Formats: sequence, C-alpha cells, structure tokens
Amino acid sequence: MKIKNLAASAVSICLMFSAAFAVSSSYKSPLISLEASAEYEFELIDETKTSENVDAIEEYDYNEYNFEENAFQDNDDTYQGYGEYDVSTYESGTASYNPVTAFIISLIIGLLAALVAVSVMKASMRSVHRKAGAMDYRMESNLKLERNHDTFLGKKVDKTPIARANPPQGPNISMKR
Amino acid sequence: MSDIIEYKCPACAGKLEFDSKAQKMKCPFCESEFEVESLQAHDSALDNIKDDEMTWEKPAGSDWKDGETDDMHVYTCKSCGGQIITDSTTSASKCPFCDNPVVMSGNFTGDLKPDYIIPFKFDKEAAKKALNKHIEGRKLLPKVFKDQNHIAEIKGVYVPVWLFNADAEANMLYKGEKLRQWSDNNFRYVERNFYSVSREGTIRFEQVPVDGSSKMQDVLMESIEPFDFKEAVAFQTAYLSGYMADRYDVSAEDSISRANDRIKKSTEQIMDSTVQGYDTVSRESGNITLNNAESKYALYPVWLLNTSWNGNKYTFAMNGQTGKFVGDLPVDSTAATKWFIGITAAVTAICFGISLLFGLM
Repeated sequence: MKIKNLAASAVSICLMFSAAFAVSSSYKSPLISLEASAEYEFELIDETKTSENVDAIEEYDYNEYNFEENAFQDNDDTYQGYGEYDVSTYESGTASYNPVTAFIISLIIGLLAALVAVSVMKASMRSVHRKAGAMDYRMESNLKLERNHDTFLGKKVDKTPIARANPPQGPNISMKR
Repeated sequence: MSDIIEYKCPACAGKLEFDSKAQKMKCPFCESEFEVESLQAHDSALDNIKDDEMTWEKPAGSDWKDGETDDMHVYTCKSCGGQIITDSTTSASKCPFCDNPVVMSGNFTGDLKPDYIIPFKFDKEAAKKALNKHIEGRKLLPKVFKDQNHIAEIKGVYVPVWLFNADAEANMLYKGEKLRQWSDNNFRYVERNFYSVSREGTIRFEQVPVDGSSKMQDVLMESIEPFDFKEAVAFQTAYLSGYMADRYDVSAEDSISRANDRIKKSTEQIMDSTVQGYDTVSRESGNITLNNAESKYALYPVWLLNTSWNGNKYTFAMNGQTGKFVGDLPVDSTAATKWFIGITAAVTAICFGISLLFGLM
C-alpha cells in the first residue's frame, strides 16, 4: 500500500513537471519575432490659403515628432504624409530543442524523485518512537484555569517609507499657443 | 543606598529609561513605550517564579500475602540476567528479551506485589497475524529476514510498569505580541503591542506509565502506548497462567524522572494552548508543582519477538490489550539501490519522453 503511495508521489512529481513544461511551451519567449507597425496619416494644409488653415498648422509642432522627411509628399494644395514604422523588429526564430540538455534535466528530476521515494520507503521501516509527553493520560477537560490575566505593557510603532516609482510622464508633445 | 531597579525592554531587551514627558518607560534603542505599573508587575512576576516541585510521596505496590507466591517460579537468563516469573502451570525455555535459554532458579520470593494487571486481550494467533501484516509489502525488507523469522516463538510477557497519578499545578508567564499594520500615501506602519500573559491552572494526569524493566527497551514500551487503564483489574496470580512476567529491576524512585519529564512536557503544552489571540507568544518563565502525587505498580501485557539478522538484534512488540504492533525493520541496501535505480530510470524516461513530445528544453 505504501509502495502505491510512493509510486503515486513519483507520478505526481512527473505530472507537475509536465504541467510546468506545458505551461512554459505556451509562453512565447522574446526570441520569437516581435513586430509592430503603425500607420499615420496627416493632412497638411497649404499655409497660404486661409487664416483658419494657419491656425490649424500652428496647433502642432511637427518638429517634435521624429518622423522621416520623406514621409511627406508634396501635392498641389495639401500634403499627405504616410509613414510606416517598425517599433522593434528582431530576427524571427524558434528555440532549438537540445536533447542532451533535455536528458540531463530529466535525469536530475529522476534522481530527485528516486531519492524522495526511497527515503520515504526507508522511513516507513521505522515504527519505534519515544513519547514526548503524557497527553494520553490527561483527564479529559479537567483543566482548571485559576488565573487568566493579560496585561498591556506598551507598544512600538515602526514607520517605513513606501518606495514609489517615478511619476508617469506624458507624451513628449509641446503645445504652441 | 537602595538598589536601582532596571527594566528590560520586552521588544529588544534594551535597558529602559523613564520618559518624563510621556510619563512612561521608554526604550532608547527601539523607542518602544511601556506603562510603568504593568511593567513592574510583569517584572515582579518574573522574579517570583519558583523552581519545579515534582515530588512523589506514596509508595507503589504492596506486600504479598502468605502462600500467594508458592506456585510461582523464577527463571533466570544466563545471557542477559533477566528474571522471568511464571506460575506452576507455565514453563519457560527461552528469554523473551534476548532469546537465549533460561533456567529455573527457584520459587519466587521478595519484590512487591503488583497493584493492578491488564489481562491479555489478543492471543498468540492474533500476534502472529499482526507481525505478518507488519512485514508484508515492505519492499526494502530482506527476504532472508522474512524467511528466517521465528514467528512461532513470539511470547506473551507481562511487563512491570510504574504508574504515576498527579495534579500538575502550573504557574506560567508569557510575553504576547499583537501586530497591527496599515499604511497611508507615504508610509507603511507596523504597530507592535506587548502584553504580559499569566496563566495558572491545574491538570490531572492518571496512570502515566514508566517501564520498570531494564531488559525491555523503554522506547519500545512507549511506542505501543497507550494502554487503557479502565480495563485494569486488581492483580491475581491466576492471570499469569500461560504467560511470563518480567521481574522489575528499575525502582519507582528511579522511574520518577521520566514520569516528571512527560507530565511537565504535556502540562506546558496544555498551558501554552490557553494563550490565544496573539501573533507571537514566547514563554518567559514557569513552574510546575505536583499535588496528590502517587505511584502504583502494575503489569501490562506485551507480545514480544526477538530476532537477529546480519549480527543485529531486532525486537518486535505488540500491545496485548490494543493490538498495536511496532518494531524497526532492517533495510536491504541492495533492494534500496535497485529501487533507486529503477525509479530514476522510469522518471527520467517519462520526463525525457514528455520533452520529446512537446519539443521542450
């Protein structure tokens, strides 16, 4: 019966590691390509046309944006700018399977599982233990508590500053008025 | 000039100083504040703690009546020196403690008469079954050990025990600590409140047994506890029929220290359990006094089997009243190695197979 328990423990350990592997497999590591793109469209109005257009142009300071110059194309009356940017692009690739590493890790798990199982088996061979107290010979619920005093002595208050991260900063856009 | 009383800080054990502004005792090291009166009371309680008084007054056992021991014989083991008592209907050939031959050395005389005896409730067949159950399914048990076990030689022995009854009066002093935590926008606060906790109470212990035989291992007797004293009867020689009885060679006086240790340990545990509602509790001091302390002499039923393997002696014991069976078993190192290698190989194969399937690592 105890051997069955041991076997169950060993299988549980295996399942635990298997579950960990399964979970880790569903997690994408940074080695896998991380690609993002953004498409921006801006309409630039000819500043010579109307005063209303002038106000609209002054509303944004385009120099603050780090867009490339060639993103803007000249048209007759309006500028249409299209820019496509890769936020970050890494070489795409997958984690390669290394059978030697896999075997070594499996062997370590196997050794640990065997060590636990055999230790439990050895411990089960011992059944002689010294009794620490005499609880078995205490008369049931016969504790007569004659004094039961709790007196407040004093207190101490410790104050620790809470560590804060830097305050969040807004987008780097300057507004011109 | 009178002695200056120094108070120690319950929080850090530093020397406390009186703070005239707060009118309290203040610790210059950890800045804890304490009420003067309560601190004084706690300190005087610490000073007034006495030593344990665990003395036993009434002697155990009684004298035999005339003619009561006429039919009782004494067998002596020439190997371990143990003396076995049987009635005239029972003969002993081997010592139950060392398995060596015993010889009858004469009629029983002297010693105290036991006050009580717990008769055997389990017979020899039940003891054999219990032993078989104890060793079955043990993968690390040497096969040779199982085969060589002389199960038929299991013997029923009445083991002499001293029984101790007492009212344990405990006077304990603890230091309790309650924690409260909160925070605001800038700080996290931890408030530690210190309490002086005193408990005084009485607990009754009855029939705490201590082995009265030097041949019987104390740890073995304690492992087959508890015995139910409700089934004990006044001693009569008729109960010895078919069984052997060991003769005590450890006096009641010599057994007192073990009884005191066990009673003290349990009393402290019970008193500790009454201190509740604190995050941490530490015992500052305490003393235990025994009242109405008396001891009795009894015989307890035990099935014993001695066997040896690889030069080591193994003793198995079964409580003759409850059937509880104990005994350390030898470990076959070859079997242990085989199991270790087998489990390692199996678990490694499973893990490696899983890694292949999922393409991990």
